[in-house]
Amino acid sequence: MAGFSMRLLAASIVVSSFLLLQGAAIAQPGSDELLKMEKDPANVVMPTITYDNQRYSSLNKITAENVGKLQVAWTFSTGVLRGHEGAPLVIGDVMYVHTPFPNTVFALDLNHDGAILWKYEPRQDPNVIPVMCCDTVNRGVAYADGKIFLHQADTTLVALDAKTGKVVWSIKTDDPGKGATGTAAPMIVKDKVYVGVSGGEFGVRGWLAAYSVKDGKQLWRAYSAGPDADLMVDPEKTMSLGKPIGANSSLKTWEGDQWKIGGGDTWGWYSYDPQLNLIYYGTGNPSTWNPKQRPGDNKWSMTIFARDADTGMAKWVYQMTPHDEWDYDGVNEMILADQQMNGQMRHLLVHFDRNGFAYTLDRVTGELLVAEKYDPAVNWATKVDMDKNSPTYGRPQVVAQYSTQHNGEDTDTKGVCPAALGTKDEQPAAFSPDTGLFYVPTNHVCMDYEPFRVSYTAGQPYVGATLSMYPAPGGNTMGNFVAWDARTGKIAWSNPEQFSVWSGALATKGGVVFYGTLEGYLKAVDAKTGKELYRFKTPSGIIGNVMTYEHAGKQYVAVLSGVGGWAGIGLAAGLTDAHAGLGAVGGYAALNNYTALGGSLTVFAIPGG
Amino acid sequence: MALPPFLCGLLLSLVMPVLAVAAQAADDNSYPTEARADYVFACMATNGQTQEALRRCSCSIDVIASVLPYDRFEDAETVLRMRRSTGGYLAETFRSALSNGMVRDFEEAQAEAEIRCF
Repeated sequence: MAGFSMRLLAASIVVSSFLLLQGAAIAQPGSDELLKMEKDPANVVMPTITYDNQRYSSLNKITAENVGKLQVAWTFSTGVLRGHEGAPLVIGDVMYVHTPFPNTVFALDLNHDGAILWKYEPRQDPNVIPVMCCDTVNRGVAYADGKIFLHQADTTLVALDAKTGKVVWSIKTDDPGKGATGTAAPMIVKDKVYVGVSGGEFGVRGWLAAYSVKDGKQLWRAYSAGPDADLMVDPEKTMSLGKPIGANSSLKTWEGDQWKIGGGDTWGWYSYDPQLNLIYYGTGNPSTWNPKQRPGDNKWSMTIFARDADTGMAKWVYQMTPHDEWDYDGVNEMILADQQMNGQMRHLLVHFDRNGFAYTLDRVTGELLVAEKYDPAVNWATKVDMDKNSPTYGRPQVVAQYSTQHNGEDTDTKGVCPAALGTKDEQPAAFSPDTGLFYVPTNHVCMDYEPFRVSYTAGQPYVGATLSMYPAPGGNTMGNFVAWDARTGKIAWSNPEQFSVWSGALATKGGVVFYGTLEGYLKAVDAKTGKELYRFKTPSGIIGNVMTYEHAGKQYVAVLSGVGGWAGIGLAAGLTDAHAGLGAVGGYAALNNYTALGGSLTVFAIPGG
Repeated sequence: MALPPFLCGLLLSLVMPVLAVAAQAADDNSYPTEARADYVFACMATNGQTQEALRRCSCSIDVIASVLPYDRFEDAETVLRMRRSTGGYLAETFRSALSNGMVRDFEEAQAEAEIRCF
């Protein structure tokens, strides 16, 4: 009976989405506008630079030959401490800069070295801060139809007038009281704003939703787990590795109703293929981190989703890490690129997963083409089974020694590589069609992982594991900047970095690839060889994404830095005992003044160039 | 705590000239002026905006530069910054033995500087 009513529900969704489709064909405010704007390299009209998430700019005034002459053109202080992820947008003469909580947005005048045109500073309940698992980050704003869209920490989705900063509309997407938060940058396709949610460490049930650009009305919401109607899948037509997923594909893989607090959050990047009219994104870890507590594959956590951009119906899915035991969220960006493979042009989706495997799929069908480790240290699985006739086709071959499920609760599973932060996290990779290579900021970190039993309370952490992390064996470095060939699944070159590379990369037609480091360096390397061509130390560690734009005929490179204040505090603290009273309190107040500038945007250009 | 380092400084003042010569010899000036100035700014913010603090703080960074290569200074700086207020996974990696070692190297250099300069 339950199955019957679900069928009915599914049918009604198909009907309503058909109507939506018709509606969309008539009015598509954002559609042509953004497709046209993303092709103009002077602008950066979306947080992923382009819909395909290649993070490639066809600007070529800054080249491998002249990048060494780069200098700071101007800087801007956000006044907000803590981690600055993402990158600004540039539309015409205006740059839009966002910040971590409280999620201030600035519009800066590029005709006047970044003078502030307007500032939007939402009032948010600071109680949202403790339910943000991984610092109070925000990955950026989106633009369409004369509006700037921001998904705030407290899950308010707001549309601002791009000219004035005034709120056009504002809606709530979820409940921070349960641990749901907004950190990801929205994406806009045609008349819809897509937004996802964070909160896998609080058992928040993941979803991707589409809202009307015009008025913020919710058009559809597709969950990562639950009944087929909630998933927005067609059991016969939604495919996984070449086969229909069948009825109740998610419900069958959870014990009881654990899927309701099962995570699968959607806090990464979204991409879009206008020819196929599909959007792509990944889902995060199943909750809790204790795998023993949630038997089954926990579908569709840790999954790549391809959905119809209009109706939201899933075309194909691929679960990378069934029954996660290590917190290897699958949310990292899906890079869409067309490349020759075995003499044939393929429409590829390339994804560098937290689990340490780089996946190359056919983005039309979801066929798995390549799955190889992009850090040789990865040890939790020997490989992904690529044999189409095998019962474990497409699944990772887990090594018992590193299986926290196998070793069980209250046992410390040691030496698992990568650590929970992944061989790569949200910091996006770049692709250059000129070299055919992907440029991947990575972590080279392993962990011990001890799961323990935990009970669910809404709004309380639902983690259930203790972790410790350290550099991968055999070295003292914790990061690499890797050039990857997704056709063969091989590393072309790799630059070791002392710390995790937690900044998004940028590839350019000038033959230069940029990224930032936690020491605070913006680095420029040769796209072909990886040879360092330029470095500049910004005021703080960089976890933002490098971007480039052109204004008044000149190419600029910009990056946000700021990981939580300035090291000087820590360095100086040794000189005076903080508890000694005399001078110390006043001293710290003075230090705070000195550091109140917070995160900063550094904009580079070649003088005269 | 503000006083003992000064006392130490007084007690050790006899051997200071010898150490200072060694310090100058080992300092290959790999520290950018900006990094030295930054350290002095923070040090003065903590110890007072006075001529004396300027002298001691300048001495302190010069001693640090003489015993700790700049890239290791940067490592410690990064670890301390990341520990201060970064949350989540990333912060975890800065509590490893490797990170502790980076901070220890810096703290040893700074202790040396306290003895010589304060």
